[in-house]
Amino acid sequence: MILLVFVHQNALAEVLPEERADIGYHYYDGGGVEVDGATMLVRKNFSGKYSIYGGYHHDSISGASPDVLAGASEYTEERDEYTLGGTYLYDNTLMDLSYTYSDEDDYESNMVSFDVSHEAFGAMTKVNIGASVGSDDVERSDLPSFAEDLDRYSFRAGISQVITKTFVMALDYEATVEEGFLNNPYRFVFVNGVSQGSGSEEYPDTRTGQAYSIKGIKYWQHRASTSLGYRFYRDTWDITSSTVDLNYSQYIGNQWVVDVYGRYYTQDEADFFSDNFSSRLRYMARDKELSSFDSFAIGGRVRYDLFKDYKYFRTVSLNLAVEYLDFDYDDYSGIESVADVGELGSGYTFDATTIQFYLSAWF
Amino acid sequence: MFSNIKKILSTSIFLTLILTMAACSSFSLPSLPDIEPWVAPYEREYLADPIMSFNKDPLSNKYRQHVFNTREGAKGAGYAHGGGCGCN
Repeated sequence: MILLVFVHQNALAEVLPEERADIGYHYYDGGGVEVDGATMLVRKNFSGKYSIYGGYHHDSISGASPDVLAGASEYTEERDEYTLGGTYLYDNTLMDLSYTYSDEDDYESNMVSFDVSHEAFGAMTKVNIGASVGSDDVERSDLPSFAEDLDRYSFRAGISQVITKTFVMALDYEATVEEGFLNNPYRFVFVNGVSQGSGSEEYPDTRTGQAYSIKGIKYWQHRASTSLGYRFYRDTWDITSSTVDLNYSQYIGNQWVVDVYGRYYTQDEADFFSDNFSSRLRYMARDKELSSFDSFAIGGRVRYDLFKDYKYFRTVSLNLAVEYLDFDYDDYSGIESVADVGELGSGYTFDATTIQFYLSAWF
Repeated sequence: MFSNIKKILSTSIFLTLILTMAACSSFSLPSLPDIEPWVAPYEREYLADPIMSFNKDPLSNKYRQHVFNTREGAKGAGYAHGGGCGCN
C-alpha cells in the first residue's frame, strides 16, 4: 500500500538515462594474476520513451591465485561478457529489462534482470525495485566430464531522497539466493597439513545473503561533490561484512574532472572455513574469499573533455582511472605446496593495481 | 532452503508487478494529500550536476565492482550486479 501511495503522488517528469557511449581498456595486476581486455557500453534513446543499451567486456586472464596453483597448472583464460537491455519510460516510471551472458572455458553464466523505478513527491523521492534470475554452468577445463549447475536469484529495493538542494541520500536492500554448485572446482583443502587434492572443497548447496546500504552525496559550492556510503552484509554461511566507500569529485576549469576515492572492506570468515582442518568435515572451504580479511583501496580518475557540441556529440572525453588495492588475510596462509606447510595459519597479503583507460561520448 | 528461494522469488515478483501495474494504471487509487516539495525545481541546479550522480561513470563503476565482487564474500544493495565469474 505504501508503494501505491508513492506511485500516485504528483511528480515532475522522469527522464530516460542519458545517451552515451564508453569504450576502453582495463588492466588488473595482483596476487599472481593479470587480467586485461577491452570494454564498452553504449546507450541510445528513441522518441523520449524508449532506450536500448548494450555492453561488451573481455577479460584475458593469465597466472593463477595461490589457492589454485597447487590444484591446477598456471593457465591463461578468456572471458567474454555481453549485456543487452532496454528501458521504457511511462509517465514517471522507468522499466528496465536486461540480459547478461558471460562465457569462459570452464564457466557459462546467464542472467535476466528486471527493474522498475518511480519518481514521486515532485521528483524529491525515487523508489526502485527489481529482481534477477541467473543460471550458470560450471565446468573444469582439465576434466571434460565435470558439469555442475548454479542458479542465482536476487531481489532488491531502494529509495533515494532529496534532503536539501545540495544533498541526496539513498537506502538500498538486496537479498540474494544461490542454489547449486558453489565451490570453485579447482580449489583444495589441507587436513593436518596434507593437501586433499584439487576439487576437495565441499560447500553447502545453498547460500542466502542480505545486504543493506546507506549512502549520501553532497554538493560543494567550489564545484565539487563528496559521497559517502556504508554497506552491511550477512549470509547463511555466517559471513558478515562491512564496506565503506568515499568519493570526492572536483571540476577544474572547463575541461577537467578529477575524482579521488577510497574504500575499506572487512569480513568475518564462513563457519566452514579453515586454512588447515584437523579432520575431514561435511563442509570444508579454503577459499580466501570465505576467510576473515580486511582490504582497502585508494584510487583516482581524471576526465579531460576533448571537445563539446561538435556534430553529433555533446561532449567527448578521455578518462584515466588508477586504483591500488591491498588485501590482508587473518588466517589464510596462501601456501602453494606441502613444502610450505609450516606456514599454514599465517596471514597472506597481496596488493594489486587496476588501470582503466576509456573514451566517453555523450550525444 | 527451497522455501527461502520461493519466498524471495514470489515476494520480488509480486512487488515488482504491483509497482509496474500501479505505475501504468489509469485508474485512481487512494493517496495521501500531495506533499509540497521543499526543494523547488528551480533550486535543483546543483542536484542536476553530473558529479551529483552515484553512478556518473557506469562503465568504470561496473568494472570496479566486478574486481571487488570476485575477491570478496559480500555482494548486493546498490552495488553493481551481473553475471560471470572470472574469479580465479
